Amino acid sequence: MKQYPSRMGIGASSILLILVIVSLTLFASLSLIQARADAALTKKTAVSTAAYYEADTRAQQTIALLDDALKSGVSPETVEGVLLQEDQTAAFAIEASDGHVLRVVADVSSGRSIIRSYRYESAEGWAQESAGTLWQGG
Amino acid sequence: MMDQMLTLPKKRSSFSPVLIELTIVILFFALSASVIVRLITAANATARASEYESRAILAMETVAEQVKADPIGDNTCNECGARVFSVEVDEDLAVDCVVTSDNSPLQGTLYDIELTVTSPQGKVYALDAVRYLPDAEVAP
Repeated sequence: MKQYPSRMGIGASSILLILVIVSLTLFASLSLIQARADAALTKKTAVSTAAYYEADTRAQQTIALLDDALKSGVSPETVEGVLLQEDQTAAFAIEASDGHVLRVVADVSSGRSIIRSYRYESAEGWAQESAGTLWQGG
Repeated sequence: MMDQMLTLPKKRSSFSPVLIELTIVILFFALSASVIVRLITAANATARASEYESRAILAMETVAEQVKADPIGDNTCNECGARVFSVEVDEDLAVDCVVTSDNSPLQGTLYDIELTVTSPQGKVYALDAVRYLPDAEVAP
């Protein structure tokens, strides 16, 4: 019986194995890293949502107190955190636990509070980065 | 002639090096594959859980905003004075809502909204929100 020589030398299967294992490990690790990043983002979203609604709850309660003060003929500034401004508006800010702040401005000139502004924004001030010299064209 | 006849025939090894290498490669591949499959399974479970939580948060926010926009709704309250209803967002996701009203403010009503996102396994998230509705804004 005629024997054919093996075409596969020693080491070929090892090289193939290494390539396959490295590729599979890479893909599996990447998918796990991505999934964990997604899970962390979801948790952050949950914390942020809870912080917003907590601040919103306090803001709504403050508006109710503001209305009560106006109805009773008491100065709006008796409500904690409320500042009466020159243009007959009352303003207050509620700090959220995630570094945001809910700023509310209400018109109190008519004897009841009418919301003029209800902004949920970052508590940290915006700092401009020096972008260097930009090409202006021409 | 006699010498040639006396020499023993060369015995071939029953395990060639290629065969031994293939055996080792297959064993190592099986070992590595089991580890990799575990990694992929863990990634899949984490991704499914976070996808479900994302849907739950979105559903909770949506229902919260809907209720805040119209806290009175159809005004069907139970004997405790609370409006209780459930919104089925998906087969595996429902948002239970309890709205109670507080008439103590002088110029309006404070509605306390308690939301609970439930899955077949139990409670997933809970959220409390409040909406103050001045009397002037209530539709006649």
